[in-house]
Amino acid sequence: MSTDLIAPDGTITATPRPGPLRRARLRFRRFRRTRPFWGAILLTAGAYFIANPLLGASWGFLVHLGVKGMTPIFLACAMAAAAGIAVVLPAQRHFPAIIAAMLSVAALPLANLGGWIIGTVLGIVGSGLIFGWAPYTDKQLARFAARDERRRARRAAARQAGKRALRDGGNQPVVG
Amino acid sequence: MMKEKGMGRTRVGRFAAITVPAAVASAGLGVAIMQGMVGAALSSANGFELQSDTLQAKAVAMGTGAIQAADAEEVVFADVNDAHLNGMCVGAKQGFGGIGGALLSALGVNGSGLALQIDSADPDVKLPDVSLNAKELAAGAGTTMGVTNIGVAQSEIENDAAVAGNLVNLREGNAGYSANDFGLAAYDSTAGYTVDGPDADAIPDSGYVSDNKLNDLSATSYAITLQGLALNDLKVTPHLIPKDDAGTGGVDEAAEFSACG
Repeated sequence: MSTDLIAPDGTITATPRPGPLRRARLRFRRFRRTRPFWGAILLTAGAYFIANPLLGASWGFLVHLGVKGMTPIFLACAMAAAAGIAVVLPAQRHFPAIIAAMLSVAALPLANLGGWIIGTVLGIVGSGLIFGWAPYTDKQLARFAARDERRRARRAAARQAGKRALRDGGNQPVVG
Repeated sequence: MMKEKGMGRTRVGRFAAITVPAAVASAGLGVAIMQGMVGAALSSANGFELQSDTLQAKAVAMGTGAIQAADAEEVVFADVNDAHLNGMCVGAKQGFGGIGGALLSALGVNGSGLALQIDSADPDVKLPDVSLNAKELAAGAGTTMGVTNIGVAQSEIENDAAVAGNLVNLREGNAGYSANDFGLAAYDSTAGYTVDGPDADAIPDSGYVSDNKLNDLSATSYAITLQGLALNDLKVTPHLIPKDDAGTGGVDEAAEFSACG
């Protein structure tokens, strides 16, 4: 991605190096847009809600409750792992998303009515967002590039026209 | 906006392909749980509330035990067969400590947790088989028991519970059963629906009468398995658990909060 300005006469002026804060923001924005970020966040929140009633528990307490008591933890771990895969390896998002959606539904009878319903809802929406995310195809990217190019040309033309008008006295109406 | 290779967007059709079947399945499961076709397992380290005006059951067995852990806590195991409740309230709480609490305050929510009050005013909530692992189990005035065996040895209570007619089995139903002290089993062979309609003295609107009757039942439970729950008139009310001035972590406040009032 180039943020350099291209002047109408073709000279390229480098944009001033952005400050560290802005750079971090731009990097984060790029990170968000290159993976199913929000879906993963919602899915993680769903996992948190499902495990939350047991998060403060001691290991002894979990052992005491036995496998029924630990089910919410297992479900939540698997959902969080699916979210992690979607963020780290966006190309492999589909299978984890399907599994996470199933686990969200399974949490309803198995784990505190799905984290008191909230966890199930967040899990389903989150895994849906992960599954629904898709990178742009080359064709689409080409179309976007063409559109950007057209816009840039139009803007440059408008700027040229404005300059010409100024040079010609500035009191004549700009035509075209 | 500059679009680069690798960037993407969410496609609505694909989103729906996952969310619609999942939503339908969970709605179906929800209905199945309420109608008693699917059992629900609840467990919480903070304990959740369970209250009912009256519980009548054919057989009741209780035993005490302790968590064999660093901070040994006493627990009550209870198993109830063919229970009928007059009204029911389950108070479920989500206390947010750590990251959750920080997020909540960042969102400007002045609370330390969320509580869900699940209420049913149904005068005859049917619970064919409940297993409870509780911190506390209390019943108020007017509580009666049928033929009762007090002080059943723990090796006996789960095997024959002779008096309870083999209807209750503490070991099978309860997660982490390790009763080691005192046990109690009560059984009423005549429990059932009265022939000539509702018994006004026992429970209004419900014809079910048993000698095993626990009034003003209230329990703080760690784990419960609801098998074959059947109820009408379900109401879910969310509450925000208020932050107290002391600001002692969200989890503790949630444990003290009473959603059922």
